Amino acid sequence: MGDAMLLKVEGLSKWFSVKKGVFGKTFYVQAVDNVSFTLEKGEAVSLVGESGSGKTTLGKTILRLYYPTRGRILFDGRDITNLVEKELKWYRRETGIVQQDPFGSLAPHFTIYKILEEPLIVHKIGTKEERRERIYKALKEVGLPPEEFAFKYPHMLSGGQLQRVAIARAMMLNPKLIIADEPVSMLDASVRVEILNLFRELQRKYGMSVIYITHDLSTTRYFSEKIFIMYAGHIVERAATNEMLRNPRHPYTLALFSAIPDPDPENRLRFREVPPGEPPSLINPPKGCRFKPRCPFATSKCDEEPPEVETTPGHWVKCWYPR
Amino acid sequence: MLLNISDLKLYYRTTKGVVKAVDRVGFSVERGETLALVGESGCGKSSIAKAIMRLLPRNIHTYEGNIILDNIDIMKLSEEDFRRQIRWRRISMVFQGALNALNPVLKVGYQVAEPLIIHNGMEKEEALKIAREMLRHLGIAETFADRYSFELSGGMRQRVVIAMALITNPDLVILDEPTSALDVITQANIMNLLKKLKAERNQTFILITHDIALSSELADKMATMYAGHIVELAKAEVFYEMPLHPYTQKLMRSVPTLRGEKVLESIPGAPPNLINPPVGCRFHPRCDKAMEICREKEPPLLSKDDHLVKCWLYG
Repeated sequence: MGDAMLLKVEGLSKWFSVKKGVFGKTFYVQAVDNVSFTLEKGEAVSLVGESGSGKTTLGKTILRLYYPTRGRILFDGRDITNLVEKELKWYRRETGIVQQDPFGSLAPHFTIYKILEEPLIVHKIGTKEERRERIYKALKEVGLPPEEFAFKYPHMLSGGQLQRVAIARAMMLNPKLIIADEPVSMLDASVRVEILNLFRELQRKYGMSVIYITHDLSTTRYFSEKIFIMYAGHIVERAATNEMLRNPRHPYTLALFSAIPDPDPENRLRFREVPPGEPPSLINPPKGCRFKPRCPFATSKCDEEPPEVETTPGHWVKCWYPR
Repeated sequence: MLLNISDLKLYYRTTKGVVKAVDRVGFSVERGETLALVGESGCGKSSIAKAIMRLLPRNIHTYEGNIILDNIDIMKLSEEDFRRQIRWRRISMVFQGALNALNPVLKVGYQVAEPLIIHNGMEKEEALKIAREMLRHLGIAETFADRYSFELSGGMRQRVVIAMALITNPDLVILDEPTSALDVITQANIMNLLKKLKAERNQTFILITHDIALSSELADKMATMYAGHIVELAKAEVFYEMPLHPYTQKLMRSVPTLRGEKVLESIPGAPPNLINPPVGCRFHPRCDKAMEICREKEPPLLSKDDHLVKCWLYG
């Protein structure tokens, strides 16, 4: 493993068990299945997928908020796959999370100051004075004047301001990796840009690695070096952002591209060519390629799980027939 | 002209004061045409829908203006007449998130048929037959009419909700964020369906959305709302190619696009509170083109070849 590599995920699966029916037969929801990739230090990657594609589960499994079912996770050369909570404390310091709903992810009865102080106290960092200094610095960095905001409560802030607090909190311990799960999807378009730009700026300044989880392919260009496309628990395509936007090769990625409108009054005059149907149930997913039932190019070969093929350097496609 | 609204006001009473959610708004829609209302959350676009459907909460302070549907001023109708003649029979609506509000203990076919039974006084059997036909027309196999909502996928449930809105053959259907809970491919499928209905049935729509890219999928005419006002209204071609209002221009520049190399810009500040909106133009605190007069006097809605804009730059 090279020095530049921060995270290596190998054959990672996360299945959830559910009981169904009168006899309580156990089924498995194969939320994430056989996923592999690497993430370099200081790299920002977008993980794109529809709701239910497993992108949040993958994020939480990487953060070890879930136990993996199969596979391995290496962080900075250390295997963290099966560590128990007590052994994970250092890992909690090295990682951070920004969640989708800023109204729900910040404690309503804490002041902003206390929200930001909490991680420092948990990890026994600094004296009271030093902590105060760090909190004020963090607030300044996310563009919230500390004198004005430190002693407010979350309900007094707008969605955009709360998301700034959430970013400050995730960065409080100078983590090496932040997973941002739909950080702007609940914000208005005009605020979205602001928050993504701020996040990008801080990510570059501190050389953090970020996994940006989103359903919105059109924002990825402004944020990440690479894009991973997820469908029904599989990562079906990985490539550098520009390469992905110019030469998408997986049939699902192509469908995604043709489904997304850009603002253009001509749009109303034509139909979009998109596959019918919806993603499969993950309790009993199709054998082999999970996009097969909706794919216009599928053959009987697709009953076998396709391997990941490197079509051009750095561009990986999990498909028997990349376009 | 199918619908003509003028001087519409909808104010809410709250403990902190009167919220002017819709303030002297006017527009018209031709038969077969789609008008999209776009704006940020809290700008009053859903309140316009509530005002047209007369689905009002209890804390109404002011509700006045003219809503002319096919030469009838429906504001003048009594509640009873409005319920009998207008709501759902002539104007229906697809509510935001309605696909998650279907009744879990009724078969979806019955839920689609219900407006016919209630509003048109039709026999159950006949209504169910028409409902099945409507579902089939919207791409749902007839056998699904006997299923419950939890057995259907999100895209199918959205089709059921659209079927409920269309079943009475209304003149106008209001679509409030009709695809916001769906993923992008399903969204494209639903937009294809709405395009088909527009072409085949000459259906008139008002589309309410925050998504400027999505509205271009259906809209013939576009209106921007800001802080309870319509600040710009134009044909879609003109609106997208040459928006005039500084707010619309900024909104366009903040939309990420998949194709092309656009540099994104954000709009500084936040929308004003509607209890004490700024004096003069309501957008002036966030506008980089604001002049002296913008801080003092509310701009009129100026008209230039069918292009309406509420801004002093053009006055």
